[in-house]
Amino acid sequence: MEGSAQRARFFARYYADLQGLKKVPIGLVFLAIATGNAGLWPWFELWEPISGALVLGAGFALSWAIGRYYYGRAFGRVRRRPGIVRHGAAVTVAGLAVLVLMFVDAALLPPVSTMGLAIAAWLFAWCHEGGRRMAHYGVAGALFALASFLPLTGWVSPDDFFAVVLPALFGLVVLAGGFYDHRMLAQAMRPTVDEW
Amino acid sequence: MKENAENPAGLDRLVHEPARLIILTALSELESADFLFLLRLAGLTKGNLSSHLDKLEAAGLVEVEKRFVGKKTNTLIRITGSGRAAVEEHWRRLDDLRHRSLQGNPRP
Repeated sequence: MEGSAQRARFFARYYADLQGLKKVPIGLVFLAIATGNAGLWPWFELWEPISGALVLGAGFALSWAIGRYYYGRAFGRVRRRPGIVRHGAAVTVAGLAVLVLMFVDAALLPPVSTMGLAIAAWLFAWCHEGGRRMAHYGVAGALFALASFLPLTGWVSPDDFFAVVLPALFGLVVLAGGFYDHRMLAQAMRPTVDEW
Repeated sequence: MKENAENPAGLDRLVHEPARLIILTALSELESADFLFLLRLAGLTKGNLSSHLDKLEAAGLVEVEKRFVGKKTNTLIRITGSGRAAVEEHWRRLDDLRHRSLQGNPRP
């Protein structure tokens, strides 16, 4: 009984954060950037300034729509407590800071990625806060921490690392994490008997 | 026996019932939640959830607001100050009970 109530506490507290399908468009955007930088799309360079902004905008809009409509209709809506909203705002600011570091890395090409380490720290913080149900955030954090040192090893050039490897890794982790979070939420929010 | 009578362990039975403890614990983490969210989270039937919410509302532990969103009715549930205090006190007593049982003295 206690376990069920604590499970309910966890899913109520992190309901918005576990809406994993919201993360899918963001993951796809970063994979598109990585594959575009890798030269897999011949027209990417020509259209990059316009298509990049459009794709990013469309990704965030789609992400918002999925959260608003799909999750609201499938699993219900909640309003978070003011303290949690402030916490969410802090997470958003941290996410934007990571994006700024992406540009810093791309300009300076350091031997160790500051963006990768910042993402790792952010993921470790989530893992610590969420406990064992957020253990996959810790795994992703470890992956980013290790990957941040790749330019130092010389296995991949700094140019390729910051233009292709890092966005690809970010996109894949966001996609995989998104599907995992969604699966966890869908299993927890099981349909009731009288819905069949 | 009265529904909200306290048992010898000092636990409020109104709060201690498993489904109601799930509902109150979840609501204590939120400003408000709609009926569908609690239905899915608690894994109850609609009738069962309504019945539990009626009892909690009658005891003043939650507030239930029915409203229209578009053409559909939407039921919004929020925990009251006394509901939040009751569930926090309940978890404190459960922790205390667990602590005592580990020390070999389960009686408060």
